Order: sequence, then structure tokens, then C-alpha cells
Amino acid sequence: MDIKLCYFFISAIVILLFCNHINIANSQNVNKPPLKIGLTVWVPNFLAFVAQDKGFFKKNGVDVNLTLIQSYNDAVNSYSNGDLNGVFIVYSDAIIQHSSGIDTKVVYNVDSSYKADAILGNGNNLTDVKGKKIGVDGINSLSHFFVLKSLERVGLGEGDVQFVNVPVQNITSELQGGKIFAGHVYSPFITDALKKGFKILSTGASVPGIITNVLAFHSDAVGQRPQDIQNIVKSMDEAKKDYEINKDQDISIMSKMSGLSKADILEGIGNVKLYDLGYNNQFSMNNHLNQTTSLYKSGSEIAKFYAERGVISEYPNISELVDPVFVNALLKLNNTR
Amino acid sequence: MKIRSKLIVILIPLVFLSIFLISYIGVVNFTRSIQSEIINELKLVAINLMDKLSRQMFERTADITFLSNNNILSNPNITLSEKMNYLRSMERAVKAYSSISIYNKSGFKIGDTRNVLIGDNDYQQKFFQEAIKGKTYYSPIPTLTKSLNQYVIQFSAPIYGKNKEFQGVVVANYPINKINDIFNKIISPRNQIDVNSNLIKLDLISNNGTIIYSNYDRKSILHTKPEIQQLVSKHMIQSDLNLINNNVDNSILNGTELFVSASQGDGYLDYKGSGWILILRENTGAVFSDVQNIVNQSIFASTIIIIISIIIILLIARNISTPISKLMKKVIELGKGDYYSKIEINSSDEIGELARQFDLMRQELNKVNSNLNKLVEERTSELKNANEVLKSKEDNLRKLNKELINADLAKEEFMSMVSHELKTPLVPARGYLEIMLRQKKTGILNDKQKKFVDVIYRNILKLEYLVNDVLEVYKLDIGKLRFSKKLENINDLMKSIETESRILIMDKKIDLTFKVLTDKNDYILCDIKRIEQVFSNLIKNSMDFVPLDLGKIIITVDRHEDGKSIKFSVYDNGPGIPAEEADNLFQKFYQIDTSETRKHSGTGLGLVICKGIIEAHGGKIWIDKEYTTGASFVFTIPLANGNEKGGLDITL
Repeated sequence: MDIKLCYFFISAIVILLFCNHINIANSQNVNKPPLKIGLTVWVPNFLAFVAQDKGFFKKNGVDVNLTLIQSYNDAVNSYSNGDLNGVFIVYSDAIIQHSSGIDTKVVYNVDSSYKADAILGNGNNLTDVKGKKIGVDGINSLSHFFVLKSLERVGLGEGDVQFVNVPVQNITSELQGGKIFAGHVYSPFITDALKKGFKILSTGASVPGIITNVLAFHSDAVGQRPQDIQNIVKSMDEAKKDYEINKDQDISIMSKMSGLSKADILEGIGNVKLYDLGYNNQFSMNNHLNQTTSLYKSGSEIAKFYAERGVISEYPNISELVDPVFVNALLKLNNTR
Repeated sequence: MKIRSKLIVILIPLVFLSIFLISYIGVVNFTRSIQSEIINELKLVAINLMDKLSRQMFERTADITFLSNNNILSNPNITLSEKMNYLRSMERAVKAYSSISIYNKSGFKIGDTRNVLIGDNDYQQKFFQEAIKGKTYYSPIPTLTKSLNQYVIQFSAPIYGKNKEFQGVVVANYPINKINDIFNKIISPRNQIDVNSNLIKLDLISNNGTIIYSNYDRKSILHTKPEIQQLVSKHMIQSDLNLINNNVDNSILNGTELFVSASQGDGYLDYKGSGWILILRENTGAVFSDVQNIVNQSIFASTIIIIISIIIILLIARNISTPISKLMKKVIELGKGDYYSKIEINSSDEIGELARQFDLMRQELNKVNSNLNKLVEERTSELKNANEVLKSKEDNLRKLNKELINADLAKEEFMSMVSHELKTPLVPARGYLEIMLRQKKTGILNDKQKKFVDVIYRNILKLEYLVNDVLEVYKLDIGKLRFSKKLENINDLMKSIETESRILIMDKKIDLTFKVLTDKNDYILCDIKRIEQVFSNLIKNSMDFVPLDLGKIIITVDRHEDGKSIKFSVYDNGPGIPAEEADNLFQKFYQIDTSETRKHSGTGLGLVICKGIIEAHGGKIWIDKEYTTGASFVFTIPLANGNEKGGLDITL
């Protein structure tokens, strides 16, 4: 064998080996899989469809794979199983996920329930429920906490009312049957209860930030692809702004993508308060704000509630859970432009 | 087979085999150690988890015992509302309960920290029945509470009044997600396995097979699963295995899963255990996919090592064989006589040394060879020069010879011409002299005239003889003398010769004796006239030398000693011939210078003619030197016995 041929073989092997390593190193940057995000059937989440349909994700250079999951629990399970990189989730559930060992980062506060959650019942105001039975969708659940927080605002405590565990879809019938005096109802069951003549005693607007919807990602996804996460947040903000300008167009997109009627979309969005980057920065992700509009504050209260009632075993570190980096960075970018 | 091929054939399989063996042993050992590591790890994890669970259960047992024993719940002076607030504050402190309820002695729920389903009667419930008996109870299987719509483990204990009378029951609902939390945070003591990944299947089952917790199949919780039942029955997991004694060596490789179980054993302190069993399974496929990766890597590495080894072997083989091949080629060239091409092998090993020594040898050979060549060249050129000299000498000689031959021819021509020209006038001169001597026509001559004419006549005759002899010799020399050879009987021949000879000496007083000793049938091939001439010459020669009165001539004929020829001898009693003169006598015009001779006639050509005739007959003539009493001429003629008779006319 010619000596030159031998050298050629040896160097070819060495080069091959190096190439192999380089490929592994580069593959993370070059062949990134799309980020899988789960959407629950909660209308504000559909802004993500707008971001996708209008090419905001693409424009911002992020590849996103959106999946609409009909059952909320399935979506949460998919997230905890790791099938999804991120999920639009109720903040309290993000806390449960995080405290049960699934490292999570809340990167964006999409909306808060204003009219989407309400305590309906007999009587004229919430103080009328004292000593009466009140239905909640799960003892020691967020529903329970929402009612307790609402009661707290009118000076009532846990001992002042009797709680009854009633699934939300049964509240109206239980009210009608007189088994409960009031109950926590949320969209779309509110309309039905109102039709039956029950009155709204309190809404989510009274306790802002308690029932709030966030975009959460697994911590490793955030750690590995921060730029992509930032671009998603940016796209969501752009979609929110776009919605304000092209409401009809975007409602059509959301309707088409989700299969809900335009009316449902409109109602769904009307029941919440949509947040943008500025709100996120000023309120949701403001660590120093001592009110429940801050995810830090509401998170601590929810966590305390869950821990005391054995729902979670450990207090989550809310500072670890809420990640304001992207919101802040984007805002800084916007300001400098 | 060449050295390179041999090296390759031996080394490559050797390298292959050794790398394969090393890899195989390495992989097998690695797999085994990984397997046992994982089993040990799983065991530790199982033990730790069960220990943690038992401690947690003990704490709950302690809580309910405390609530049962303290006086607050049984104190009639404390309102129910205050009691509930007390319980709520305790809940907040313990952070373990969904709710705590108080029942009166009839089984009605009179208080609940969640204010749920107050007034419900749970008298028939097991927790109540057990509490009535005065026991602290905990449900071994989680139950779904109507009030919370949750699965909880109920801890119940009786409440006694001051006089130890039964007042009611306190129930603490411990949600199963608290158990989940224990298992959610599995700690791998040695970090050998990724316990939080989905690779480990964790099932906590009650002693009747109900799944209390499952980390991979949440829907199976509080159900039984045939898969788990089979596992339990197959491996006969003993629920009374002692956890403290670390007696959890039920590590069984169940098909594709590594399988470890741990029972609760004796529980922890006051908590005596619920008879739960923890089953940990790790999918070997998942575990060994890592191993497979490592195996693949090692195969990849081995392949590279093998490739590099092959290249190195090829290089080594080449390194070894190339100089040898080169050397061999050079040796072959050297064998064919190429001493000039240098053997250059740049190697410091034995082959290099061999090549160097061989090159020295080649140089020596080259030197010797070139010296030899030089020498040969020198000799060749010398020979060439000598040859040229010889050639020129030969040319000279040839030239000289030619000149001599020409001169000889001229001489012979001259002689012949002279003889002929001499003879021509002699014939008429002799004729006229004979006429004069007959005295018929010329008249009678006086004595004086007669004497003078006679002298002239005799001298003319002599001259004629001489001229004839000279002509004969000349003819002999040029080969023009004619012979008419016939087979002649020796006896007949000798008779004829005797007759002739006697005529020759008729008036002389010479005793002529003939001795013919040959066989009567002996023949020779001869020209009888010429043989007679020979005898005539020899006898005449003897006659000239024998004494005048007592002359004696003896002629003998006999077979020669060789038996192949006839020897003829002519002896006389003359003065003899000196030995030193004997050979010269056969030369032309040679006569022994004696007074005697001169006295007698003789041309000096007689013997020359005899020699020519004898030699023309294939014989020899010589003077017998041993005969000292006179002269003796001997000649031989080859015997021709048996040859066909008849004439031959041969010209020599």
C-alpha cells in the first residue's frame, strides 16, 4: 500500500471523527425541533393561533408546533409527561406542576379572568352567603381558593359558610334545587345560571390575578432555547396588539383554528383582561408589588393555600417559577427602538 | 508466500481476535456491573422510599393520637367553632390534611375544617367503627370521601370525655397526593439511575393488590391490575419481609424488566404498617439502550482501532518487506552481472546492515571485475598487435615464397630449356661421330684420328646422358615423368633385371650376385622400366667405386621387416660412403669429392632420379649406414599381393 494512501486513510478517519463531534455540537443550533406548545380550550390562548396564522412566529424566527387539547387535564398531563415543551395553563396549576417536581418557568401572563369566573347565587351580595352552603368545584381547589379569597374581601372566613363540593356544570341545578345558596361558576356556564335568574355576587375582577392564565415552559426548554422563548413571548404580544387592531380578522382566525363560533370567541375574550408586555412588566412580573395582580404575590398565596391543605408538599419558590427575563428584555428592546 | 503477505495474514487476524476478545469481555463485564449496580440502586431506592413513607404515616398516626388524647376536642367549655379553628390552625401547621372532621358518638359529622357535609352520618363507616373500639385507625386503602370528592387515607381516633366516656371520633383526611409527593421526589443515593425519568415504573400496592400509587399509570390508582397481580403471585412477594433487615433481595430479572420489591415490614414506631408493597421496575430495554450506546461506541472505537491497526500492520509489513524485496531485486541484478547499480536501503535494522554489507561486497566485486576487464583488454590488444606482426611476417614469407617459387620455376625452366637445347645438337653430333667411327663413308681413320674421334664420341655420349638425366630430374620435379605401373612378380622382375645388369658389366671383372629371397608369389605394382633404371643407376654407381679386379656387387631382394613392402638392397665392396655424406647423396649434383669418383663418369643426378622413382612407387630409398665394407643402397616398394592384376598407367 502506498504510504500516501495510508496517510489519507488515517487523516480521513480523524477528520470523520471530528466532523462527527462538530455535527453533534452544531445540531442543537441547526436542527432544532419545533417547540411544542399545548393550547387548552381557553379563548385568550387562541392568540397563539393568530401569531401562527399571521406569521409572527415565523417572522421572529421561531418554529412552534401548536396543539389544541380539548381536555384541560390531558393538556396538563401531556405537559407533565414532557410531551409538550410548553403549555397555556392556569397559574395555580403551574404552581402545582412546579412543586410536584416538574421544573417550570412562567414566562408570560396571557390574561386574567374578570367576568369569566363568578360567584352566583341567591341574595344580592356576597355577604348574604354567611351561614349558607356554597358550591365550589373541588374542595381545596383553585375554585375553593377563589371563593375563599372573594369571601375574605367581604370579611367572611372559611368557618362562616358551609362548602359543598359541586362540579361546575352542576352548580345551576344545585342552586335551583336549593341544595346550595351560591356557587362558583365560570364561563361558559355563567350565561346559563344568569338565565335561570341567579345573580352575580362577585367576579374574578374583584380578586385579580387569582384566576390567571399563563404561558409556561419546562425549565430545560427555557434554558436551552431562550431566544426562541423570547420570540414566542414577542409573538404573543404582537398577536395581542394585532387583535386590538384587526379584531374581526383575528376572531375569524381563532374561530377557524379552534372550531368555536365567533360569538364564543368574542365572549371568551370579553370575559377576560388580555395582558401585554407592558402589563406583564408592570404588574404580573413585578416582584415588589404587594397585590395579587403580581404573579409573585398571587403565587405565594395560592401555594400557601395548597400547602396548608395537603395539596402540595412543598412551598414552591415563586421567584424560580416566574421568569420575567423575556418580558423585561423585550420591553427594553422596544424602548430602545 | 511473500514476507509481507505472511505478516499481514498473521497479524491482522491476531489484532482482530484480540480486539474482539477485549471488547467482548469489556462489554459483558460492563453490562453485568451495570445490571447489578442498577439492581442495588433500585433496592436502595425502594428501601428509602418505604422508610420515608412509613415515617410519614407514623407522623399522621401521631397527629391523630395527639388529637384523640388532648383535652381540647372533648372539652365542653370550648365551642365547636373554636375547636374547628383550632383544627384549622393545626392543619396549617402540619400541612398534610385536606380536612379534619369531628363526629359525635352517634356518627353525625358535627364539624369540619372545610365546612363540608356537616350533619352526614358515617356511623357505619369502618373508620368510625374502629374508633368506637377505642383504636387508632388508618385505612390501608385510600378511600374516596364524599365530602371532598378526593382519595384520602383516613386516620381516625376516638374522643373521650373526662370520665373516659366515648364522645365521638376525630377523623383526619390525608390526601393521597401527599403519598405521591413522597414518590415524586425519589432520590437516587448514588446517582446511578435517573429515578425521575420515565424509565422507572413505581407501583405502591396494598396487600390485596390495589394500586395505591403508580408513577406511570395514574388511572390505575385504586384499581387492581392483572399485570401487578401476576408479578406479585409469580414472585410471591412476602408482605412481612423485614424492611429494617434490608431483606429486599427480590431482584428478579423479569423478562425485559429489572424488578425490585420492598414491603413495609414493621412500619415505623407506632405505625405498624399498612401491608403495602413497593414495586420498582426498570425497563431493561431503556437501561440497556444506554449500554447499547456504549457497546456501539466501543464497536465504533474498536473498528477505528482495527482500521488503524491494519494500516499500521500494512505499514510495518511494507517497512519490513520493501527493503527485502529491494535487496532481493538487487541480488538478482547482481547475479546477472550488474555490478554498478548501488544498493540503497535506508534502514537502521538488520536488513539495512545486510544491505550495507552487501553493497560493500558489490563494490569489491565491481572493483575485481573492472580490474579483470582491464587486464583482458590489455592482453587482447597485445595479442592483436602480435597477430598483426605475425600476419605481416606471414605476408613477407608468402611473398618471399612466391618469389622463391618463381625463381625455382625460372631455374627449372632454364634447366629444361638448357637440357633440351643442349640435347638437340648432341643427337646429330653423335650420329656423325658414329658414322665416322664405322669408317665406311668417311674412310679409314688413322689411329690418332680414330682415338680423338672416339674421345669426342664418348664425351658426347656422356653429355647426352647428362642432359637426359637433367631432363629426367626436371620431369620428376615437375611431376611430368610418366610411369606405366603393372603388377610384377618379384622373381620375374629380378630375372629381367639380372639379365640387364649382366649386360651392363659384361666386360668388367665384377662379381654380380643376385639373392632373391622373396616368395615366388610376391608382387609389386611398378613400372618395370623405371625399376630397371633404378637398378641400372645403382649398379652403375657401384661399378664406379668397386675395385677394378675384385669388384663385388650383391643384390638382395627380401621382404621388409614390416612385411608390407619388398626391400631391395645393392651392396658393393667399394670404399663406402661416409656417414655424414649419406643424406646428401640424394641431392642434385652431389658427388663425394674423391679422386676415385672423378675418375669415373657420373652426372650426380642418378641417385636423385632413383629417389624420385622409388618415392613415386610409394617406397623409400636410403643408404644402409651399418654396412661398412662398402656402399649399400636400400629401397623398398610396397607389396601388392592380392591386388588385381592388370596395367595401371599412372602419371606422377
